[in-house]
Formats: sequence, C-alpha cells, structure tokens
Amino acid sequence: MSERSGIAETADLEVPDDIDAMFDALYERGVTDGLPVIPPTAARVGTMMAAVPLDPGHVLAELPPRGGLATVEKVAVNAVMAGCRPDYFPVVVAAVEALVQPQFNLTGIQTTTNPVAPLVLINGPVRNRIGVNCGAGALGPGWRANATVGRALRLVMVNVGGATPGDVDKSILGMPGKYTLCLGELEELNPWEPFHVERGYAPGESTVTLISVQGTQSCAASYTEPEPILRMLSNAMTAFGANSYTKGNGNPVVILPPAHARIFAGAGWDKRQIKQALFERTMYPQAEFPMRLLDTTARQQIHDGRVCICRRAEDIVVIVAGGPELNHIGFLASFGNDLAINPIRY
Amino acid sequence: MKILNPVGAPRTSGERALLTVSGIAGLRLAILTNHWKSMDRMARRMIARASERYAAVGVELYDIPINGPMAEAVEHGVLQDCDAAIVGLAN
Amino acid sequence: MLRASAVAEKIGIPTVSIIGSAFMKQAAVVCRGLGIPFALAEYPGAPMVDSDAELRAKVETNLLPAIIEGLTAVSGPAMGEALTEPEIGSVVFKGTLDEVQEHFHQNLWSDGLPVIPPTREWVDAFLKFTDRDPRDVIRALPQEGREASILSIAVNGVMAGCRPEYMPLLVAIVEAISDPNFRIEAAGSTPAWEPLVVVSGPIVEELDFNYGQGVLKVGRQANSSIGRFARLYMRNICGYRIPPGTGDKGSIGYTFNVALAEDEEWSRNIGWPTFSEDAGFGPGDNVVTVQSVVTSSPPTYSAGDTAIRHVQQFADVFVRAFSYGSHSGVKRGYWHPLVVIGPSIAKVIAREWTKDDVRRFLWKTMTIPASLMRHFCAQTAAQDMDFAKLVGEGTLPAHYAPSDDPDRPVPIIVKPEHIGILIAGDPGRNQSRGYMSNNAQGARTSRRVALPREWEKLRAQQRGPALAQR
Repeated sequence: MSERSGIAETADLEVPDDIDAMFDALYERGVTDGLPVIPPTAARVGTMMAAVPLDPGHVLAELPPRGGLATVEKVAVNAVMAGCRPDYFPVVVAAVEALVQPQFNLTGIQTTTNPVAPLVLINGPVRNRIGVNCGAGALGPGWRANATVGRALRLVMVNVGGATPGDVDKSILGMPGKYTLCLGELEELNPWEPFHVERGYAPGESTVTLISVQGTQSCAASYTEPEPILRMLSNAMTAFGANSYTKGNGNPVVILPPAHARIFAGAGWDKRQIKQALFERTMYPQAEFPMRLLDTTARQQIHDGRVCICRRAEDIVVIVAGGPELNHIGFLASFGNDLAINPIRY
Repeated sequence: MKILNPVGAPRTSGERALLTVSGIAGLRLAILTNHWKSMDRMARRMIARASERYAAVGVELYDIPINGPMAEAVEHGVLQDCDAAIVGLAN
Repeated sequence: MLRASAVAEKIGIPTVSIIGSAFMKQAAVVCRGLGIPFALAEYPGAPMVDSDAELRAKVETNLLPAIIEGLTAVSGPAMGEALTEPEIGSVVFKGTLDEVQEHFHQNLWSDGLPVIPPTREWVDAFLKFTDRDPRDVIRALPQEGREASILSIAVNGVMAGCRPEYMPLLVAIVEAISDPNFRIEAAGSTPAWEPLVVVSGPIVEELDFNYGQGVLKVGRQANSSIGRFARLYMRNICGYRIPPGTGDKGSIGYTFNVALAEDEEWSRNIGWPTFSEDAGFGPGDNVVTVQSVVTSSPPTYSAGDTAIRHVQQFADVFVRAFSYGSHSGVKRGYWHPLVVIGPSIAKVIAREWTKDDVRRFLWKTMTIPASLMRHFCAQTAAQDMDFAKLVGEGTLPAHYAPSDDPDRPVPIIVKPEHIGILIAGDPGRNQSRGYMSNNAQGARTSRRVALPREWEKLRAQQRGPALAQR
C-alpha cells in the first residue's frame, strides 16, 4: 500500500556557513522570496516544531498545484526561514490547514493571473501573547509577528505548493502582499463583536482567517457622521474590475480604524447595517460595464440590472484595526473566493 | 552547514497510462468549457469541424466552473454519454 | 479547469486539455500534482487576444490536430515516480498458504476471497493449454497501463481457481475486453457494470459448463471460476479496485457474473440458431462473447401456448425494468440487452416465431413517452435529451422525432438487432430473464477460442481433477 501513497523525502541541503554565500545559494535554488532567510538547521526546525504537540511527519495539508505535502516539519522549515519565533508556529500551522478548505479555492489562487494574496487575520488572545500588531501600521512593516507569520505562509505556498512566480503562479504583476499580509483585529477598541465571534467562535478562542484579496486601498474619510463616510467608502469599493464583481462571490474587506468604528456605533449602527448599506451602495449598473469585454467569466450577482460586489451583504468583512486618527479607512478588494477560518489549537 | 529542505514533494503515486482512443471517428465528444469567451469561440469551431472533418458522431457541451470542481451531474453525464472529452480553457 | 480534466480521466474518459501557450508549464505542474497523465493541446498564443479569423485558423491548423493527437497518443509520459512493480515472471513471495493469502490481500492482489497461489508449476500447467508465447501482449489496458500478457492471464486464471484447460477461454475473454469497441476504460464508472461472459460451441459440453437450472448461480466450477477470473483480471491488470484501492468508482454495485452458457442442443431442436450463430459463427466454433450487464429484470414467468403471450409478458416486464436506464443507451444509438429465455418457453415461442420475430416484437412494443425518457435523462445526467438533434446527426432513426409531441412513444431499444437472445435455465420451469447493458459501454464482443494444437492429447493426459497434476 505504501507504494501507492508514499511520502517522498526531499534531501537535506548543504549550504555555506558564510551568511552572504548562504543567501546566494538559497536564492539560486528559488526557495526564498528574494529576501534573506534564516537557515533552517535541524536544531532550529526542532525547536520550532516543539511548539505544537504534533508528529513531524503529520500532514497538515496537500497543497495544490504541485500537491506537495505540508508536513509539520516542512512548515516548520519554512517558518524558520521566514524568521518566525516558535510561539508563532501554532498560528502558521492553523493558517496552512485553512488554505485547503475547499471554498477558499487554493488552486485558483496559486495559478491565476490575478495579483491575489491571502490576507491573514488573527483574532483572540493569541494576538497579545505573540505581539501581533493591531494598531497603527498594522499592515505595514516593523512588527515581527505580522511580518513573519504572513511570510511563512507564503513560503509554504510556494515551496510546498509549487506556485513559483512566472511559471506556475501566473500573476501578471503580483503585489507586495505576496511577501506578507497579516494583521490582528483591534478587538479591544471594537465597539461590536470581534470578527471571530461574528463567525461563531468564543471570544476567548483564537482564530486565523484567510481572505483572498487583490491589493490594498485607502479611502480618506475624515467625517464625523456615518453618511459621508459611507459615501466615500462605497465609492472606493466600487472598483468593478475586482474579481468579486465578475465572479459574484468572495469577501470584500473593510478595515475601519477605531475612530470611524466609534462614529458608527455612536450613531446606533451595527456591523450588519454597515454591510447592508455598503452592499447596496456598491452596486453598479450592468449597462455601464464596457460591452465587449475581451473575455469574461461572467457569473455575476445581479439585482435589478445592477451588479453586486459579492453574493450578499453578510459576505462583506468589516473589522476594526489601525491607528487612532480619523483619516483613512482601509479596503481590500476580493479575489472572488470565500474566506477560510480555522481555530488556533495549540 | 546542513539545513532541511523547504521544498515539499507530492505523494509518490503510481504511473498511470493515458487513456486513449484510436481516433475520433464514430465517437461522441464532450467539450467541457469554463466559458472564457475565447473558449466558447473555439468550441463553436470545434463543434463544426468535429463531425464534418473528423467524422465524430456528435458533440455535447458541458459547463464547468471557473473555480472549483465540476458538478457531479456533469461528471456522470460525460461518462455515460461520451467517449472522449476536451476540456478548456486554462488561461 | 484542470481539475475537471483530472476527474474526467479518473472516471475513465480519454481527455485532452486546451492550454494557452503561456500556461503550459503551469499545466504540467498542476497535472503532476493532480496525479493525472497530461494530454495537453496547446493553443499557440493567447486565445483571448486573437481575432475571430486568427482563432478559427489556429483551431483548424494547430488545435484540432493537437487534440486528436492528445486523445490518440499511444503512451503518455510517466507521472512522477513509476510504480515499483515486480519484474515480470519473477517469484514475488514464498511462504505458507496462509502467508500467501495475507500477502496477496495486503497488496490488493486478491478479490477478498482466498486465491490459489500462482506457483510456477500451476502457471506452467495453464501455459501448456495455449500455443501463444507467455510474453505475447494483447494490449496495454487502462486504468494502469499494464500489459495484458498471456502470462498475466495464466497467473490470474490460477488465482481465480480455474482449471488449466480453461486457458484458451480466458485468453479469448481478455481479447474481447481489450477490443477498443468494448471500452474497458469505462468499466470503473459509478453505475458499476460487470462483464458477462457467454461461452458457445462444443467446448460447453466438453468443459462441463452449466446451462440448465441455476445457470447464473455459483456452484459449477467452469461457470464460477471463469466469471471470477474476469473480475479478478479487471482488478489486477486493469486496476479497477474498490477502496482501499482506487479505480473502481461503482457506488453500490453487485458481484461478478458467473459465466453463462447456452443450451445449444435445445436451440437446435426447436429450430433456432444459437447465440453464436446469431453473431455469424458456425456451429462447430468455440466462441466467447462478453458484454456489460448493469442490471437485470426480475425473474419473469410467462404462461400460454402461443408465442405472443410469452413475448408480450417479456415486453411488459422488461419495459418496466429497463425504461429508466434506457435514455443513456438511446443517446448513443446503441445498447444491447440480453434475453435469457427458459428452454420450455423458447420451445413454445419457436413453434410460431423466429428469434428475429421476437426481437421485432420487443423493439416495437417496448416504448415509453418521449417526455418520460427526457425526464429520466434530466434526473440523471447534466444534459437534456434532444431527439431531433440525435436524429439529425444520424445517431437515431427518424421515427424518434417525427414531431415535438412529448407524449409520442419512443422505443427504449434503438434497433431490434441489438437484442441478444439465448436459451438457458431450468427446462422444467417457465422462467426467463432480461439483462441490461450499461448503455453502449461493454459492447457485445465475440472472439473465437483458439485451442492449442495439442488439445486432444493434453485433455487425454488429464486424469481426474487438475489438482492431482501438481
């Protein structure tokens, strides 16, 4: 039987001790993202794996398109390279498992011409335990957990899943989020329930959510009332070249800084109402789409001759994160496949 | 220094031979299309040519999604009704 | 989209995938990851940006030929690592009988029942009964591309519990299922059809086949072991295995058919050509015929002293049993039911009717409303049934679509000559039975049995059961 379902081993690598030569060697092999990596020695990988009570050979997922087996060990190797600390490893493990939830359509994400990357959203007590930035600059550089957890996931997607840029990952331009795109929700300043609670998890549980997004956008909305904020935000969201418009599914992501969240909550709005308002205001008349689209995979969600941003209002994700100023709201357009959420078990 | 390899390989699975036919004359073909417009244009052309030039007995068109597995009913229909399948478009 | 191709290949349909040039490398990776051999047809360039004229030209000049090549290519590239299989002809195991059973079970080489260990002596005993070289290959068979060699037939014949003298029949069976028209590649599909082997000619008496009472039940060595052989061969050589194996996707299924033989003397006595004579063989020919069977009618009792009383009964019962599935064969213009008529019933019918009369009556009488056939089709498959289109392309005769009237009757069998008729069963009873093929798959295929030159001498040498020969 093992003949038919064997686990192939990839051989250990011998690399120079010198740090520059070592980086060159690994870069030439195509296993870095172009940035330096921490060499995954057996000792480092062992320490990383000790953070979860799983066997090194335990298969977390088979990753398309190559079908490479993401064993605990392989994921640990890539997590070491990314620069993760061992206490980040349970989050990375949960994220790798989430990749292969069927609705997430990893095959599509790995092989498309679209610039898509997975947004890694972390909820629950793990954020504070490992120091995930949820506040100012949450999607930017400077915070080790944000930088390396997202990076580890992407290295796994490429090194284990086989999505080498150009040949297999056909993304025409790519985008910086393919290096890393990871933040935590600022639950402490969220006037409503956190994202994972909205999805049925207990507040005290920690979860990781993967949402396939095409890029980041910013919307200046320095208003003190909901109506003008909604007008500005919905305008930013109505970029109908986003896949979610053409595919009629997916999860457009709205990141409300805490100040904006306070304004909505103070005026008596909850998340459901915000989503409904945005869903309605981001509809676009079908007649105004350019007629002879070169190629289209039109499975659009159309209500009364207007194309919707996704399947339903509830699918819009509204989270709270970012710095304290009442300025720019974040919007991430959706690739058009549904999110995957997974509890962090260890 | 020795480091572990970050590349993960797929399971070793047995060699599978390609299923083949001896020619398409007399066969009923299935075209599975994910409806890229260019695929539909190609399908129209292939349908016209399949019988006229290659003596296929008939061509059936089936929808497959752009993202995700095909419906079980399509799988069943293809197998029951057709002898060979043309799938497109990877683009 | 390549996942659709993978599914199509796995369910047993030769498949080729259309890929734009820039995506060929990606396609190779995806196909390897999905575990399918890749028959890829390249569209040169990017179809999205080509004008209608350019696209048309590329389809004609490049794509269609590449598609045909992809569908007909003789051997595909190896996928990943090759199966490590034992060398042909080598000894794979030594041990006690129990250890052999365990080893074969673990390797999925048995059918779950004990096998006769294929020792060199046993295999040689079988090989004596064919003039063909053990290394001769009939064809490489799907799903796993393994060669159907004479040696493999002997090995599996031993395992199935056949006698060495059955070897010529076993070879003919494999020749029949290897015929491209038989479409063995469709044998792993969800309806779960089983091959039915029919044996004809003098060999029936010589090898003590049952054709009387209990003809399709286990019990007689010739019928039972040869039926088992067919299924075992499909598991071991073709690769059709249920879990924990792969390849056989039958949802529920039923078990292998024992081989069927006809009461040919009875047929001659009542003046009917035998089953093999219907196919154009002579009375002295030894023939095996194989076809798919997916379901049967109930055991059908009929009464009366006129032909029509009996054949009307057949029509009334079989139309109810076979209406649902008939859409699938009708869409192909061909499916091939087999009617096994009890000897006493055949005698009554034959007084007035020929076999062709029976065929014509059944074909004419077994009709259902067109709308019902379309409904059954819609419930089962992803496509509608367009009778006019099927008539237009020449698949169906014109009488299937003389009008749009949904209530118009359409025959569930396309042509009378598709109906096989054979006499077998208990002569003391008035029971007959109908067997349904799985649409056009497992088409009725006959092969002459080639006896070795030394057949008479070998048979004379056999004294008692073959077991004593070891």
